[in-house]
Amino acid sequence: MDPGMIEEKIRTYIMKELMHDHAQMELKRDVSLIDGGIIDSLGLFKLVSFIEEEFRITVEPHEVRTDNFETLAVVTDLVRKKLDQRSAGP
Amino acid sequence: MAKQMTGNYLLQHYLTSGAVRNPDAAAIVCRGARLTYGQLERSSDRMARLLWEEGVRPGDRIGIFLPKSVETLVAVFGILKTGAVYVPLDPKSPAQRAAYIIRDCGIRVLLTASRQKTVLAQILCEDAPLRLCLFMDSAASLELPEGRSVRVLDWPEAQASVKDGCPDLPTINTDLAYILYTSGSTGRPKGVMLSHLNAMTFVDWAATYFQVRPEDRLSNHAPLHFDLSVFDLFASLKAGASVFPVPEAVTLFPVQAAQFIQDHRLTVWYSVPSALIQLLQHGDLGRFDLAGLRAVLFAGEVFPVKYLRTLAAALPRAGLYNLYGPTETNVCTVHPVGEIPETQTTPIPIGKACANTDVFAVNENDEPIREGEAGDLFVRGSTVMKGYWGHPDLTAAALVRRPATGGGSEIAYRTGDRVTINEKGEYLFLGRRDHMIKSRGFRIELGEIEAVLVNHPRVHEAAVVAIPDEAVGNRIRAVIVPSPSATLTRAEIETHCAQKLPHYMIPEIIDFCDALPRTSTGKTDKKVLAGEAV
Repeated sequence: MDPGMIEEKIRTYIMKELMHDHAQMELKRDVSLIDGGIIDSLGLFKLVSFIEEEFRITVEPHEVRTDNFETLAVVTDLVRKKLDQRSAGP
Repeated sequence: MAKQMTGNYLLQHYLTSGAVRNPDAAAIVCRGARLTYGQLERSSDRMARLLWEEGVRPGDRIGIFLPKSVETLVAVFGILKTGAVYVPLDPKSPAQRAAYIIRDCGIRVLLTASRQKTVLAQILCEDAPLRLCLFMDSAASLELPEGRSVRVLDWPEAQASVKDGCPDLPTINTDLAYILYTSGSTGRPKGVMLSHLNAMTFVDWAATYFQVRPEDRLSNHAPLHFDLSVFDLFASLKAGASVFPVPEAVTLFPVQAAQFIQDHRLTVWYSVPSALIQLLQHGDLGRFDLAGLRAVLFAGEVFPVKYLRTLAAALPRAGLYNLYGPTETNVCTVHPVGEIPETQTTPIPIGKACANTDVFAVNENDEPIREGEAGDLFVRGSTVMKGYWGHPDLTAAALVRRPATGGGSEIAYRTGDRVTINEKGEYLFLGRRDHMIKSRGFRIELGEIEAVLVNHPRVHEAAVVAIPDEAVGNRIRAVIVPSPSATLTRAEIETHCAQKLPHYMIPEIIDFCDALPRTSTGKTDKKVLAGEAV
């Protein structure tokens, strides 16, 4: 799947499910989801479940960190890397 | 200016004493910044002096609208040292709610940070009596709405020109120290007024009971507007220990929270059970060394025993303590968790009263409850709040006059909690009398959410119920009847709620129907609504 499509799917999910507070705002890929208050602890676990189900990947507990969830861009990177690993695997 | 240590003893004197005893010890460490007792004492003196020169006087309410940082403590102590009252506002609060609190208790001076600028601009568009915004970092430029004049100061710049030493004050320990806003059933948050004596009765007990020592390193997980922070900040300073506020982003990610405990070699942790359950479930604890923790305290909601057993196994060297108490009384009972038998499924007790506090429960006939009997819990003693800001009616309903031992009468706080008592004289929490619930440790009046929902122009009727959930306490379900021939979407409701309610009060489940189920007496049948979602 091309990265643009991955990003768009995640953006749509975040805007629809997690951004009640900023309904009119367009979600830029480098905006902090955390400082901006877009995801709280519940939202974070909803987002993790969403990417696991949508892209059929597994996110390990130690991967649920700021580095992988701070912005839309890094979430997309995480998913892309996981998908690459899977297609390169046995 | 010489410190009058022989005079009144107030919250700020914990810091002053610490600065005299050991000025070079770390008082607070946060996001890479560190302040020693000496630095914090001098900095908060200058803050007090600045506030004084800006016209702040004893009893004035000063808002703190800051993410966790070392400056937060400078703000808290600076305010206390002018004899003023600090009012913490949730830094993630929607503008309308923050503006309501600012209006409600007449906050004219707000201590804030540049990260809050966007929401602050929205607050200033609302009707808020602010006349000074003091930025603890640097304001650069604050865009003011047209026609709005507010004085803006930068603390880093302003403090340079302020003299040392703080003014001598007439404050005594029954004067207000802080106001904490909690959810109110009338649709508006209400301000719980707490005095120095209220806080210090608890802090003095807690620092002794938990044997907090200078070498201890305490977490500060709860935000400042949550009363768990009173223990973290003041018990650590009383003991000459160090406090480590957990940045908001770290509280979101359990793995990082575990890393935080390990890296800072924390010895005492205090949070709501749901934060600990998250740590257990998603914290990958096997990878971290948390053996430094000697005491783990929790309060705010029921800790299900199955998770508590896991916690005890994960932290075999730590003492576990269940604390209980509404914001109105701070902590009033404690229960040290012992061995939990494999067969036990019932919740652990909330325990027995803390020092200088008494709790008692009475049945329908106003008689003290006997073992196994259910009753309403009351609290008396010097931790009990002074009242709700601006609400003598609510205050009178909560602070009731009761016959005192040996004659006469005295004031006790009616908690609204139902309890029973066991053979050891320990109290056990049974539930609430009203519609207040806890979710992730946050106190929520379902009525406040309902009031917000029915304010939506296209909502005809709404009911909000709690769906019990072991990991987070409760999930919130809203059932909405749209106005005739109107259409409404879930997203519209969520957006509406997000503008008026903190994030933890936004219903997680939103359903629509044509009519609400009714009981035989015509009331909304909440049992049916709560049952439907299971």
